[in-house]
Formats: sequence, C-alpha cells, structure tokens
Amino acid sequence: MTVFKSFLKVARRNIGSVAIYVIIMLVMSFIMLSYLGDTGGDLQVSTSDYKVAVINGDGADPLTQGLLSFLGSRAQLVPLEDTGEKAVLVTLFWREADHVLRIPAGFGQSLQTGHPLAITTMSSPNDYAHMYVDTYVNRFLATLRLYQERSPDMDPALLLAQVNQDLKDEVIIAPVSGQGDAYLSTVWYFRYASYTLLAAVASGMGVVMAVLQKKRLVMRARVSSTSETSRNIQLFLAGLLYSSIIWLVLVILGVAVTRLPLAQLLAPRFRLILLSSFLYMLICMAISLVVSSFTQNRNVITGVNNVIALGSSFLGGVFVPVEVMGDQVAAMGKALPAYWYTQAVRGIGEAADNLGTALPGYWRHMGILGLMLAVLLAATLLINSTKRQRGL
Amino acid sequence: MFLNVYRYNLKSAFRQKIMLFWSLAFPILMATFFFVAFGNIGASERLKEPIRIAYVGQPQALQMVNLRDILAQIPLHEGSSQEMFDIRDASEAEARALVQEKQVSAAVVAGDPPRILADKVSVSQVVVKQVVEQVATTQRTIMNLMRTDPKAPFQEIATALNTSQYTQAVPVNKDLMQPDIIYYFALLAMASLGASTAGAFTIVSQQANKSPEGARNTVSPTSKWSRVFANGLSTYTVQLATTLVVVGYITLVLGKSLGRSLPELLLIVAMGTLMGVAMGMAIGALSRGNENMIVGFSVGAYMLSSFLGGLMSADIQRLVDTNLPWLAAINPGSMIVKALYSLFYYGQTEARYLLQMLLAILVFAGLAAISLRRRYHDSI
Repeated sequence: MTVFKSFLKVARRNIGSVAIYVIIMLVMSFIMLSYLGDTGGDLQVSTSDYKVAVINGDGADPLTQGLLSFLGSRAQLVPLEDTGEKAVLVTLFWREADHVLRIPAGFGQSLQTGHPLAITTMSSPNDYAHMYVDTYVNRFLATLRLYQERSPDMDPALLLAQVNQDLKDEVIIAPVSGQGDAYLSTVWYFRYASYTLLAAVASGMGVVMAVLQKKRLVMRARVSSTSETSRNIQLFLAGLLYSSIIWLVLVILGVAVTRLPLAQLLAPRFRLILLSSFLYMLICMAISLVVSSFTQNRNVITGVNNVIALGSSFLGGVFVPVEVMGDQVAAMGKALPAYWYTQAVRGIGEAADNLGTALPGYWRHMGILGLMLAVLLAATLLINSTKRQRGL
Repeated sequence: MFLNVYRYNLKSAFRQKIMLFWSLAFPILMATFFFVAFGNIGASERLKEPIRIAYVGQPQALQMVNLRDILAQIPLHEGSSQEMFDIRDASEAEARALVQEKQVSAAVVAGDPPRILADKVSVSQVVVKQVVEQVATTQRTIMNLMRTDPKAPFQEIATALNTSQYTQAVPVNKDLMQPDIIYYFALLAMASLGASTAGAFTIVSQQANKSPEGARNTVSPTSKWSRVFANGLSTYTVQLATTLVVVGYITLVLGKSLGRSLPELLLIVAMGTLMGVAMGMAIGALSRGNENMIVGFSVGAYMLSSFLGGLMSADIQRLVDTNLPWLAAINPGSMIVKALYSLFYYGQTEARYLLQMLLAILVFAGLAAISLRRRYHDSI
C-alpha cells in the first residue's frame, strides 16, 4: 500500500488548501442560518418587522393620524430625527428604515376634496417589501375616501373605525405540511455545500495528483514491482478516502449548523440528500482527475478548479436559483453537474412528507449525475491512455 | 538602486503568469459568469405563465362575493388574453395534497377572511396573497355598502378601491439600481484584495528563510527597507493595472454602470488594491510558515473577506451589514463594497469608508513594518 500511504502523506501536507474552503463554508452557513430567520431564504410575507419611517407634515389631522395608526398595526414605525433629503437617503442606505413616507401638509384636508395630495415614498435599494406597505396605504385611503364620499357628514372617528373594520384581517399563508424549517435549512446548506465540495475536493486532490503524476515519479513507479493496476486502484481508494473525509466533515458541519433533529437525520429524505451529495463528491473527484490529467502544475490546477467551482455554482443554480436566471442560462446550466445536483437536493428536500411524487424526478436527476460521472471517468481514462501511448 | 529594484520587479511581476491569472483572468471570468447568470434577472420579476392554485369553497350565487370567479377573471398582465390563475376546484384535503405534491403553488380556502395554504413562500405565493387580500377587503367594503345602498355602482367602487394614486414613489437611482450590482462590487473587492497574494510574495521574496530569492536579495547591498518598498510599489503598480483592466472590462465590455463619478471609482479601486497589497505584506511578514502556507493564508483571507462582502450571495453582505456591523466595519472586502455602493447610491463616496480603508492600510503596513524590523539572519 505504498502508493495509498504516499497519497495520504502528500494530502496531509496540503490540508491548508482544503481547510480554506471548509472555513468559508462554516462562516457562510453560520451567518446565513443564524440570521436568515424562518423563511429559509424565500420571500418575506409579513410586514410586521418591516421598518417604516413617516415624515408627517400634516400634524395632528385626525385622518392622517388614522392612517399612521393603521400603518403602525401593519409595520414597525421608526422615528426619523432629521427629515432632510440627504438624511433620508442615509437612513435608507443604512436600513435604519426600509421605507420612508413623506406626508405633505394639508394631506388630511385634501382627502375631502376631489384632488387628494400624494404621499411620496422612498425605499431602500433592492427592497421589494415596500410594495406591501404602499398597497396598504392606498387601500386604506381608497376605502376611507369611498366612505367619505358616500357619507360626507360621517364623524372622522366613526369613519376610521369603519375603514379599520374593513381592513382588519390580513390574509395569512399557513404551512400545509409539518416539515418545518429544518429541511429548508438543510436544502440551503447542501446546495451551497456543493461549491465547497467541488472546490475542496478538486483543489485538494488536484494538488496531490499534481505531485503523484509528476513525469519522473510516474516513470519510477512504472519500473517498480507494483503493477499499474494495483497502483491505480491504490490511488483511487486513497482519493476516495480523502474525498469521503472532506464530505463527511461537511455533512457533520451541516448537521451541527442546521440543528437537524435525530428523527429527521434518520428519515429517508435526509438519506437521499446524503446520497446525492456523495454522488456529487464522486463527480468532484472525477473532475479533479480530468484536470490533473492535463497538467501537473499545482497553481494551474488550483486556478482551473476555482473557475470550475465558482462558474458552475453560479450557472448551475447553487448561488442563484435557476428560476431567477433566464431560460437560456438555465438551458446552459443543464450541461453542468451542479445543476442536476441542486435539482435533486431541492426536489427531495422541498417535497411533501411522503416523498412519493418527488422520487421519480430525484432518481432521474441522480441518473443524469451518474451518466456525467461515467463520462468524466471515461474522459480521464482516454486522456491517460493517449498520453501513455504517446510516451508522455 | 531603488529604481533598479522597482524596474526589475515590475518586469518579473508582469511575467508571472499564475499571478496574472488570479489578478486578471480570474476576475474577468467571474464577471463574465455574473453577466451570463444575471443577464435576465429583471425579466424574472414578470410572471411568465399562470399560477396554478387550488380553490376550496362553495360557489356563491352572487358574483360580487364569489372569490373564485373574481380570481378566474384577473388577466396575467394588462391586456393579456391569459388569466393570472389556473384554478382547480378541490376539497380542503385534496387541496393540501395538491400543494404537497407541488401540483399547485398554493390553495385558497374561501371564508371571511380567506386562508392560503402553501408549503413555501416564493413569488407565486406572494402574488396569490396580495390578490386574495385585495379581493377580500374589496368584497367586505362592497358588502357593507350594499346594506345601505343596494343600487350603488359596485364595479366602479371596486375599481376605485384598487387604486394606487395616493402614493408616489420617488426612485433612488432607479435606472442604475439593479439587483446584481452588489455581485460586481464584491468582485471588484475580490480583484483589489487579490493583490494580497502578490503582496505576500513580496515579503517572501525578501526573506532569506522563506525563499531562495529572499536569500539572494538579503545579501545584496541595497537596504532592506529600500528593497521592500520598491518591491511593494512595483507589485502595487502591476496589481492596480490589472484591477483597472477588470473595471474596464465590466464597464466597457459588459456595459455595467459602476457609479457616476469615474475619479472616485478609480480612487476606491486604487485604495482597495493598496489595502490588498498591504494586507498580503502583513500576512507574509507575520506568518511563520513556508511560502505555500503564506500564499494559502492570503488566498483564504481575501476569499473570506470578499465572500463577506457578498461575492457568493448578496444576502451575506446584507446580513453582515445589518446583524454584524462590527464585522462589516473591520472587513476590508465590506469596506470596498460599501465605498463603491455609496458612490453608486449617493453619487459621491462617503468619506468614512475612505478613512476606514486608509486606516486599514496603515494598520497592515504598520504590522508588516513592526514584524520585519530587526529581523536579521546570521552569516554562515
């Protein structure tokens, strides 16, 4: 087992390049899973924590106060000391408020005329939840004006009570299954872990292979008493052990940061997610073998592997969901293992409790990943065989 | 002598292909990936096809209160012949099964108020919630009015209730604000901080115990500080040139706008690159390991820093910014991203970010200087 031991010895000396990616994954998952909340990365649906600042130029007008009171029941009103334009921009930039409403003087009075004044709004960059608040404001004022037009002599207090009564209930989205957020976090983790797996396994193994595939070392090995088959098997087993350790570390890390309960750890859903990540790990190994067949320069190997890892993670829907990307990009992504891995993990992780309908899709994705693995291994064999025949 | 060292190191730096790959080719490739991946990001905000929903509820004789009919009549877009919702009638148990099996995005259960059943919340579910809420409140108001005035023009009332005329959005950089811009800023942070590897090499190449080149340089008649400074300056020159090429590629080739003031943009990039070189020099001077370990540290440091700035997910930048402000304040990547973002957002850079960057440069340079001073090797 000389080759096997040599592989692990070289791997141990280059553990730093793998550790970098694992640390990045650890920090990334800690930040994301600690602060992302219960939405698992999806859209915010309630505005109860949404910070709205109101610059009220209309003072104590009862209708304006009614609007503020209604807004206060739907969002978190935050005070704004400096109401200048620059200060508002700073407030939005630092997200001290997500949305700022500026109510002009005479707004309440203008509601009683045919030409109500408009409330100007500004929102934080790339914020979408302000749409909810704007909708609430418009709905409140439209309802108020409607009642006002039909009953002009109605007391403002009664008017506001009527409007609040009409708008009192918020439609809620109730979860249909009891799977909770645990699997959403797990899906997120294993989606992102594909980047770490690819970067760590490909770079780590690539560096080891760069050493073991050096021409003079290979030529020395060929004249040794160990057969080529035995040498290749030892290399494969050592690579498998090395990659499996990285995979296992990432799995343990995932279980720790997602705090997956024991019952869910033993559930078929988690086992299927593990299976797909293990298959993806084999693909990472194969990618590393293909790259190191072309070059033994460790810097080139690290560079190429980083481009492959980051590129396929962006185009394969790991960092950015494929739904957000255009159809052409999604079609391009289908040529990448990361795309099928992400589909498999998301499909099974987000599936219903009984997994029944998700399984055919899952196995199809796994089949495609299996085929990609076979193609990559065949390519490695072909390249190495060609190089050997040419005496390279 | 200073100029000689500067000139030769400049030549040497331009000939290091692997260094040029990390400083130039890698950011350009990444920018291209971003451009391809996010090229269509705005188009996804528009619904492409009807949302499949299940409807649970008894049909109502009066059309005005029949939620199902109202939902069925809403067009996908203004003037579109397609409807927004593809509705399947179901019992509540069937609707739950349909949601779980992902055959529908959500189930709407009629009632006062209506309920929505879903197994996740994404764009489709938010649209369903908004529409159902709008319809439900409109219905309630109309029902109230019917009690007092059965002949009221309900169609007109419904239109009046669903107006958006009371608010007027004042856009903040509307034409410039794109959801993917943070990724490009984080990429520029990565390209700038990528200079740290070259900075670390600068120190490695000056230390006799870390590289053969360092042993040769140590016995030269040029003073240590003169060599370190000349090497650092030439490294900075090369790294700045490559970062500017990346800026040129993003703005001129990919056509992305990175802000309205070119001089300020260049100032941030120049300071960011200097911070990268200084960070690398500090890592090189403080680390006790060999060349590979030092390079590993510097790559890890700048990758982690860029990642915290939002390189792999814009959410990370937002989460760090809002929940861990102390980390954002000391992270070089966040400093560069925030400086670029403030330039983009306000039209001028916030001085505090430039000061933060300047302070970081001084700290890194100070650490390198303190670590290198009085470090001599015995003559053997």
